[in-house]
Amino acid sequence: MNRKIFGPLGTVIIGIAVIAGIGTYVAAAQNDSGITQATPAGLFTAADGKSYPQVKLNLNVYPNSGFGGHHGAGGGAHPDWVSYGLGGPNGEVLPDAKTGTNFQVPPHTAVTITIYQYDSGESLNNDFFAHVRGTVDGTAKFVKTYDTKAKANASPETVITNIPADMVGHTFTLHGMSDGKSQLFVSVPLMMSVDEEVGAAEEAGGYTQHPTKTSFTFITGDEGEYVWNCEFPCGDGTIARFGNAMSAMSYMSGHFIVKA
Amino acid sequence: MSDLRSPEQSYFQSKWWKRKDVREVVVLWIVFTGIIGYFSTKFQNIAMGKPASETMENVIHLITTFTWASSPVAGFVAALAVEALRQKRHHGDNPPPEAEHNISSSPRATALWLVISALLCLFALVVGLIALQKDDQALLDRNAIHVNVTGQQWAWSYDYPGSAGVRSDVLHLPVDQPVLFHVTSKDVKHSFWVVQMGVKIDANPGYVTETAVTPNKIGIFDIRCAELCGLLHAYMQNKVVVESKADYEKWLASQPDTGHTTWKAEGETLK
Amino acid sequence: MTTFVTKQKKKALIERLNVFTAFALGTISAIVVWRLALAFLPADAELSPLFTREDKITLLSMIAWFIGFMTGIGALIGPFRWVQGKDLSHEENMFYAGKDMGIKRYFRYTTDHKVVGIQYLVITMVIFGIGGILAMLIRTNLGKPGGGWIHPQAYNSIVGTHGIIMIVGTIIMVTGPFGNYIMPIMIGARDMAFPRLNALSFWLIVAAAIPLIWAQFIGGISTGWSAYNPLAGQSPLGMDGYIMFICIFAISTMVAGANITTTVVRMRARGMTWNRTPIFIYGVVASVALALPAFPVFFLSQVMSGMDRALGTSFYNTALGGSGWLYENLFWIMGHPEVYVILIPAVAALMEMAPVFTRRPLFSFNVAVMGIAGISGLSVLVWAHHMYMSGWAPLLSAPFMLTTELISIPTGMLFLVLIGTLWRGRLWMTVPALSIFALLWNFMIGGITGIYLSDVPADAFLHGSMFVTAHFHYTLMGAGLTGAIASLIYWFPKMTGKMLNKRLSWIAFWLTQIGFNVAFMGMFFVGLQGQPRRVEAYAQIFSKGNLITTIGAYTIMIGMLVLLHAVISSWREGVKAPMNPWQAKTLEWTVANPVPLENFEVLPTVTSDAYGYGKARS
Repeated sequence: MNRKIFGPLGTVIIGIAVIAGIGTYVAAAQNDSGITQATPAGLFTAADGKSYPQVKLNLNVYPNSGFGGHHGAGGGAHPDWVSYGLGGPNGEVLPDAKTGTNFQVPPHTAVTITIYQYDSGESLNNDFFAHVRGTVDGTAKFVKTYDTKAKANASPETVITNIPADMVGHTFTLHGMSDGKSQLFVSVPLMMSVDEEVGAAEEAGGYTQHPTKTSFTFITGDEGEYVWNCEFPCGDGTIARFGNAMSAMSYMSGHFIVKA
Repeated sequence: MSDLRSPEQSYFQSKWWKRKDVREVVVLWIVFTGIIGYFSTKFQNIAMGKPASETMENVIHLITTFTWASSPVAGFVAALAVEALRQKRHHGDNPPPEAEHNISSSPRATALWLVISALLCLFALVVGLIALQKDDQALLDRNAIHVNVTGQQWAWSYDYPGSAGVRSDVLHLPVDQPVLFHVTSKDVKHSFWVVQMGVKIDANPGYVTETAVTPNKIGIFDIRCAELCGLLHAYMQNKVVVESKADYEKWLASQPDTGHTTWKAEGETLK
Repeated sequence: MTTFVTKQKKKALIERLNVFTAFALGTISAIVVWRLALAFLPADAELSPLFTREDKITLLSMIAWFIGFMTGIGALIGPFRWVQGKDLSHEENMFYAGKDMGIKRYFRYTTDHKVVGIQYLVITMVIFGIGGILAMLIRTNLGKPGGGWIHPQAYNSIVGTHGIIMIVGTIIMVTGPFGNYIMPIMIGARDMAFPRLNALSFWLIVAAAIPLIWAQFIGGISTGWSAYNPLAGQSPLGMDGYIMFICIFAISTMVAGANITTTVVRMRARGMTWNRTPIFIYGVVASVALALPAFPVFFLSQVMSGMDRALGTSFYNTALGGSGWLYENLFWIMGHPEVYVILIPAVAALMEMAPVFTRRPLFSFNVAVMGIAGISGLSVLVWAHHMYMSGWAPLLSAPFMLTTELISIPTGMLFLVLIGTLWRGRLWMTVPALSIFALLWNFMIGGITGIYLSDVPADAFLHGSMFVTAHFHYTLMGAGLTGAIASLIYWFPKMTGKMLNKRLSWIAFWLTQIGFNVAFMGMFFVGLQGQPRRVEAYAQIFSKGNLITTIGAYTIMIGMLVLLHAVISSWREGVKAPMNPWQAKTLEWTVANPVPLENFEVLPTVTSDAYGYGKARS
């Protein structure tokens, strides 16, 4: 091989290596690099009689990141930012979870998500998102007060199609690209927990004993990559309150992958 | 004197249309114009796909017209460039001998070029203004149904004033019916782009902007946000379903009443 | 050397200051102010509309960096002397000019225009390197439909940073190295009108770059390079780095503009009338003449953006009485002339090279000047074609469509000049000569696609899609960068005394041009299919076009790396260049390599223009 080729070839290789190195560093600098697979949960029969395999996910929404989980013990870089996270089936806080906002479910499956909402709330920007959309019958199951110590509902479970627009804690809004496949759009409002209890619990260094509990089921279509984000603006101090936690993945948004 | 002239110098004695390289340029010009026009328009039409409205048909027509109008220009430049390359090319570290002439201007060529480019410019302007006027007229159509479009980070929501509080995340429209969109944003700038119908208007916080279109094909098409609006801009997209009037009415009736739409009646301001 | 250096072996202050002291002083100032601000700035008021304390701290500490850096490099010595009623002595001026300093002069506040030209060359390459790395990250992420390699927040920041860095790089790529090094010699002057301002304009760019890099580590920016408000108001702290970068860069551009304009107007050699001034000079002057009014507006728009973020004003916040449209107008009033700031010097440089590589006169110098003047004049009247879809002023769509389409006429004149010069010339097959052909190809595509975009109904489909991205890459990169690389090869012998390796520059030329066309043709395709711009992921139907674009991008990368190697290896150990390797007729080729400190022993007198090639017809 001609010696003269070493120089340019070397430059090209070093250049590629530099790019690959920087790329790897940037790609790894994610807030939440893991994915949680939904757990299988038998079969689900829809109103029209069709039967789908069913999977479950349990999530919590916290008023700050101090719960640990995927933000780490101290709450990470922004301990005061609200955050979603993985939760136990009875709303247990899971401080050791390594991931918490990216989920994977199979296609053509009924996905049941249960969310315990530990934060207080206010009015939405757009009360469209106070309505339940995209679930199997346009409804969600709702418990206004859930007792995490007793691990039971402290108020009766109701079926809702919407909640008052000024009592919204957060929403779970799932959407994606318009991709030639079925459009998947699911949005469920999560009512706020009682303001005073949330405040008192935060001062004591924990979370309220009485979160709200919402669960809903939707059917996925073909494979695809979607995202979910909250549509309740809580990024205080920023335009439309949609900055800070609202504009950082793994706090109030995450990936939702539909894949076999 | 004439016997001592070099071949290059006698070049300038013959009439310009008889010169060999000029004839070659003309041939190349015709060939390149055809190739450029044909392949460019093919490329464009394959990419743009099937239009779903007359507005989009006009867009495709405009782009095709401009392509064919500019192909002769591109073809001419290409022909001259290729002809220059076809002459004797000199290689090496030393410059070639100087050219056999020192022509530094040609008022005739300049004037001709100016006139033709001005005419092409005028043509493009007139064609564009006519199409623009058609689009502007659509905004005034009294038969249009109204749809409010609210953009926010990072989802579109639609509502139908005049219906029983129907609000939706999927846009349903009846075919062959003009529709007037009132578009606004709740936070930052977005852009409402109904791709296959060829309409787009930015969604600005605090203002309502408008665009209008008449879908003329039944099918499912795409709405994509076309202005970077933050973290999940890439996912701010959904479908528009164009269906027969009967199916559209059925869909409207099947939607739950959300209590209100964002725009109640003519003249009232948006919430 | 001179008395003040050897006096008592104590080094004077100006001898001690260099880039290292500048970085040190800048860093220390930034840290000190940061700690002070952290400790003493009051917390935000409960009801403050926007989050301000962190922005104040960030901006204050970036301003402290800037002042510290400029003090540390020695920029304030002149003004400090004036305050004392003195000025620099002749020996100090010669010291500043880098006399007998060897390689150290490149790391100092050196005023010699040749040193500044080399400094600009190096920083342009660094800027393109960073921008290029970011481009490769973008295209790697977009190789697959679902994206997913780089997460959305980092991706958006990379896209915006790539954009602004490349814009700055393309603004300075011809005017910086060649406008500074070559231009004074080409007009027969010893240096520029304001040598200290020359050094200032360069070091301002170095000072500006740090806040932008710093920005990536404090959250990045959430907008594109156009930093649209209100999204910019919502952006993480990195936005303050963007604001500082632009403010400092705007000052650099204005300073350079004043310097270049004054130099050309006042310091041309005896006998160099405007008719005999080379066309490259016209290109450089037109470019900075456009930048001079445009950049203060950019500066202003960013100051207002910073005030909205840090001081709770609401210039761009509709909810509190402002308007995002104000920002769009201010930005694009700069943004459109700016693309001609980028394009004109590159095309003018190629027009300068065309007679040299065809050995015949430039075809119609007057038409070239008219074309440049026409483009410059019209370019300040077209800005709202970027806002056709914004909803701001639908009634203004037609007038702006008129002015925008009119620009095609002076642009066409530049084409006429180039193809007229190619016609019946003796083509010397060199990379600069072939670059003219590449420019014609790329600029034709870029220009015609610009006509589609200038048409409002077509723009309703094309705006905000990848079609726009492909269009401006064809004009700024396909035409602009091609001209800049040709300029590098052409003037490399004069600036470095070496010839740029021929084989490597041919390889780089073909790889870059082919890779470029593959990449951006693919991008036109997905744009026409309906892919929006600035997206981190896309639908399946766009996957083929994006894959082609990514492959093209990798080809460009290899071409540029080969060029980088060629530049470095030729500079160090290339073939020594004769005084006038291209046998060109402009004044810079009449001085020896290396160019003496004061350029000419005796200032030349000019008796004709520089295009006297070819034989007179008998």
